Amino acid sequence: MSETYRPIRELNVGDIDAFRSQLRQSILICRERCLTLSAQWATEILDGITTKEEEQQQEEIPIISETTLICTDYESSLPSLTEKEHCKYQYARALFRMQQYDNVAFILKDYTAPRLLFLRLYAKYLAAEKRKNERIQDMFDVISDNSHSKNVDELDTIYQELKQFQEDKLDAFNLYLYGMLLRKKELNDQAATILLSSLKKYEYNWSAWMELGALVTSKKQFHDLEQVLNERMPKSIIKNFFFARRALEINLSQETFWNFMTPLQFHFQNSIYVKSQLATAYYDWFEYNEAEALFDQIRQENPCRLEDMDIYSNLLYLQGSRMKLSVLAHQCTRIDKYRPETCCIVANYHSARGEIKESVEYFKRALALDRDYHLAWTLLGHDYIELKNMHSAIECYRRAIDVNSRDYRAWYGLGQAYEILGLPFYATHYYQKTTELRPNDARMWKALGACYALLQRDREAIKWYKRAAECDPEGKHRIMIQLARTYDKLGETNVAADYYRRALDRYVEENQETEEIAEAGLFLARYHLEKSEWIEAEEYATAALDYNFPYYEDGKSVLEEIRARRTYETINSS
Amino acid sequence: MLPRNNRSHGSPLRGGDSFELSSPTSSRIPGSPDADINMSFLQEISASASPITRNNHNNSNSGMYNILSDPRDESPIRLNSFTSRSRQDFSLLTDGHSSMTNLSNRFASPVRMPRGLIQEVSYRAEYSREDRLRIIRHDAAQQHLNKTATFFAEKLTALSDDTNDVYFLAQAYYQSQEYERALDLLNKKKTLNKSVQCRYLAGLCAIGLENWHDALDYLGPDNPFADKNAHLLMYDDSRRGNRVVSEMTKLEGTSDGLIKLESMMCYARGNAYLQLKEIDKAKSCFKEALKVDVKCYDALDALIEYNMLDERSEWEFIMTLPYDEHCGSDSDLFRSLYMLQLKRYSHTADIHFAQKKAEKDHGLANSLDVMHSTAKTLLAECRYEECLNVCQKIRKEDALYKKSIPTYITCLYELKKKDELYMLAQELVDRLNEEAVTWHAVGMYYLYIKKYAEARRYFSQATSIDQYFEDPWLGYGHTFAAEKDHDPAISAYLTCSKLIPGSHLPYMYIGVQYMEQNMFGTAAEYLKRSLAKCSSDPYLLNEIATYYYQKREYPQALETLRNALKLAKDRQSPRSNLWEKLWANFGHVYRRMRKYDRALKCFRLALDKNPHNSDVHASIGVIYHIQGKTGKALVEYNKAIRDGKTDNTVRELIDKALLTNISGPTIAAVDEPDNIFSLRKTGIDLLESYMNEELAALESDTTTDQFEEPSLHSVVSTHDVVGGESILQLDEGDLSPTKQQDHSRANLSTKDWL
Repeated sequence: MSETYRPIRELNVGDIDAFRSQLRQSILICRERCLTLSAQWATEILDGITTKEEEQQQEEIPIISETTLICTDYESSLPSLTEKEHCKYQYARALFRMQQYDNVAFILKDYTAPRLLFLRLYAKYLAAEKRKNERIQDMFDVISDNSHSKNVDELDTIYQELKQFQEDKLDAFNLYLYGMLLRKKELNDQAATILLSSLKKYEYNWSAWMELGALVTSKKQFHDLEQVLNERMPKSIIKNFFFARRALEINLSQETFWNFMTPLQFHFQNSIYVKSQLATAYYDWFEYNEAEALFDQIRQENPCRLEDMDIYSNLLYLQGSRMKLSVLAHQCTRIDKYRPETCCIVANYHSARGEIKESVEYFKRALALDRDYHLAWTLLGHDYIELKNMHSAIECYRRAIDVNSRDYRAWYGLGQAYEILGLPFYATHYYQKTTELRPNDARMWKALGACYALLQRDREAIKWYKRAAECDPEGKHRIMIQLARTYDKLGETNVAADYYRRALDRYVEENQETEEIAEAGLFLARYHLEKSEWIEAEEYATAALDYNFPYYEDGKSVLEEIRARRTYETINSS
Repeated sequence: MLPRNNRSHGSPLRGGDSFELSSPTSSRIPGSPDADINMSFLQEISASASPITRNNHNNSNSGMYNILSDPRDESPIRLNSFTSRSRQDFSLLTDGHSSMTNLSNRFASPVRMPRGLIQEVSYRAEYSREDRLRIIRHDAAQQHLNKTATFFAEKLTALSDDTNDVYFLAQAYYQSQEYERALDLLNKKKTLNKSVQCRYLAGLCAIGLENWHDALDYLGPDNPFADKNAHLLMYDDSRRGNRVVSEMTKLEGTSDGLIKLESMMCYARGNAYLQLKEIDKAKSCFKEALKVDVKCYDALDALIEYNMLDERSEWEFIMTLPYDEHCGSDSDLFRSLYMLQLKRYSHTADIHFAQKKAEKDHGLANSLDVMHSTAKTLLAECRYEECLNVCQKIRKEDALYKKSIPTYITCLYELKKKDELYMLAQELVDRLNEEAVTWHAVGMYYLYIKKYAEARRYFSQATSIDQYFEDPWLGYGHTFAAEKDHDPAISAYLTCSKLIPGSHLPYMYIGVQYMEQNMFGTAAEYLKRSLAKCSSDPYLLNEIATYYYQKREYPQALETLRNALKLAKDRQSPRSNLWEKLWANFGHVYRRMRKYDRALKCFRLALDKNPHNSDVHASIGVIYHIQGKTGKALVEYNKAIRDGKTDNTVRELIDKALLTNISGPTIAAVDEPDNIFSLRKTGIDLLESYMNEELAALESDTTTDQFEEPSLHSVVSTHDVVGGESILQLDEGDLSPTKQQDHSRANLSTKDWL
């Protein structure tokens, strides 16, 4: 399982300069095609690059000569538009901005120039998606047969239209759209091929990277892709951004992440995007303090940036800082009430205050705004677990997994829900999945062990408990209690006693007071009693007396028994 | 307007329609008694006559007109009647028959020219008053002045007592829909034995009165002319010696421009039989009509419209009609046009050729029928969008061209264009309120919005207007099938199969219904019957493969599927819904034959068509499950459930998978996916190559199958070990029965091919 650390090629200043000018062009190109997300990403990264001028002389403010669209490297490789096409395109683009997607598709219906073709099909796609969302009434609507098939049909017409072209006849953006549709059709290998060739043709389309990222769902795939990309575009910087992000999203090891992030962190240290990524990473690795510090810094730099603030709110929730969470919630609501992130933050806020019903409402609102918001699905699942509504919880977790199959929280939630429903063998499957996703997380192993214990498969349970103990040296004692119980059940009292003793020692060492101490004490007392080791037995039994029912009473009775047996034995021996 | 005539005879509602009779009447005229006068004066007249007259002489050559000429031998008005008859010929051309005869080219302005001619002729002093009256009578009849025509015809009968004048009076009555009166007249004047023409008119009157048996009495139970001797016997007394002429004309050859009376009578007889539900007899009458005279399109239309011939006999019949003999230099045109009426299951290349010919060589690209034929081809290939375009073009030309409306409806239904379907139905209700096709459209709309009770009501309304209209019958059956109400569905299909003998679809649907009830014996019987009617419908072969699959006769199933694939390969557009079913079924069969790699390939192809086919997902899951890849299996099972398969089988399978998962090694849950980024050239070409592979397998069928047999068994044994009994058993318990669920509806399209 160990990561092989491959030193990434160092970036030099020349590369960065080239990257910068490419990004500038990409803003024009993507904006021209109404790919707002790509354009926004490019601008954000561009904004975070420290220019030489800034570093050196402040007096001379250089003036940038704005490039025009037609002069960009990519655009000049395409055939230029006729006047008619240009007019139609501008018309369509204006309509697109006003979200009149069907109208766009209609205006451009007879044109085949790459840019026009893309905008038309993209508009058609968005129109279909919009209609699909409008058709969904209830959130859990298993998207009703008719509307579902309608959506499939609509997408299929776009797919068919693209399919008739040869792969090399399509430009990068049409290929991107094609890849997206292929992914929707779950033809992943074709989608991969198409998206890679789209990126080969034009690599500064962040949306295409995200689409490609969605295909990467396992470590093996990640490394497969890495290999391919290293061969095909060795110099690409955007590739690093992509890998770093995806490594984080699918919970790969810290080494993998740093492998990509380190050079970026060095060159883009002022980039708010990079910082945000780092903060998220720390959050994922349970380094909450670092994460919080970074998030605070981000908020200071730009209090209006809502991206990733949902993660910050999660963090605050886990940290229990309700005050900060409340401030965050209020500020974000003021900035934009109807952003999915905002809704999620507010939901977290309510959840932290124990107002689960409100929290559910807000998560639902977030999901109404963005049905692919897997974080919200997972958190909503947690809320339903709180409300003891297991079936809804399961549904939510499933949705989360549909969107991101590497969301271990959702898998874990599923396991939990099934465990509560009394279906441990279902639960085991899901816990197994979580252990696969997070092999170093003791909680997962422990849960898995518990399930096996429930299934009366104690040997396996012991195996997983031991695994859990390995992963978490600090919380070891709790697991040791579990181990001891299991061994006890198996009748291997000696081993059980051993574990109890070690756990008890740890507890005493840490000055903790839990009922486990009493449990261990009682067990050990009885154990020693059987062996007629009165002194140890008495000592352990007394430890149990500090606790309430039933330990106190049990302790008393054990003590009495010890006394009785002891007297009986002395009498006998004498 | 033409194609409707035959139907309108049968329908009670059509009785009052003024159009309906125009075709038989006008087509009768050339062979009218007047024409026959000229027989004996052949030389004399032809010397002075226009080209048309010559045609008329020839027309009367078939022998049966000779009787009519008898009274004429001494008639004083022969020249006169000749002119008036030639007049009729002209107006005949105006009547819309121009497409049927090549004469049309000769008369650019058909109406005016003859009128002038007649006036010129008719006021020549040498004509008698009777003759002048006759001219007025003809003109009035031609211009639909029925009262005028009746008035003068009646005067003429009073004056002359001529059979011919009686005939025209009867015809005038007929035209004003006084059938009873016409019949009375014909009987009273005892014309029936004197003139075949009168007999024919009497038959038509009886049909108009819906006295089908009477009609048959008038027309004779079968063609009296089929056997020349019998005909001689029957009419011997009335012949009185014109045999010479008839034989002479027979020698001359039969190719002329006009339609033979014998053929028309056959057609009318067929219509009467049809109304009496004696479909076989009707069919042979129609066929006879065409054999006697290819030009009698009404008969062909009836055969096609009522779908009386199954696919093979239709091909044979249409291809062997005596075009050359009857149509002379136009035989090519006729052949092409008639071929376009064929069903679209086989002989695609020939039909395509005919289509091209009709469009290019004959310049008929803008003819509605030719366009409709294009639409039919497209529909058969499931190219709904293109078909829709053609249908819309047709509708723009002629919104009331009823033939293409069912096609249009099917396209709209398949393309899920609900609004358009609604609008169409609404428009038809407004404009063609009494047509079956209108109520069929309404029914289809309700079927689309899944209101089956309403749909049923409208379908049955359509069938009651026209009981030989196949589509609403099938739709009626589908409404029951959609509600899983098997018995009424079957009885609806059965009725349909009885009324429309040429269609294989009702039998196929019955087979499907029985299969759904697990009555395989009966199902097989019906499927076989269906196959006997049409052996080249890939949908049908798909169903038969399903049957074999259910009977666990996998090699046969595979072969049938391959045959279906072969048929579908060139003729189904890539967007046809058939592919998904076909590949899924291939997958199922291979799965059962334990050739899992092939099965997976096929399932992938099916998913390419529809990624949300839960059945396919479940089956892929089963394969992974058997192969021990539990993790992958579970992913697929979950997809199956997500896509709405609420079947318990899948849930059971999941339970099983999870249980094996616990006992087995944990790694099973962590199946590594394939390397999808390797940039292999897969997927896109997968389909092409795989299809060829299957087809190649079909070619070398007998040999390979024998070789494959042993290997198949060995696979079985290994997998029993690997997969474990339990899964295999469940596998037997099976997911596939559902696979025809939506078939019946999806297949709705096929019925419109006919």
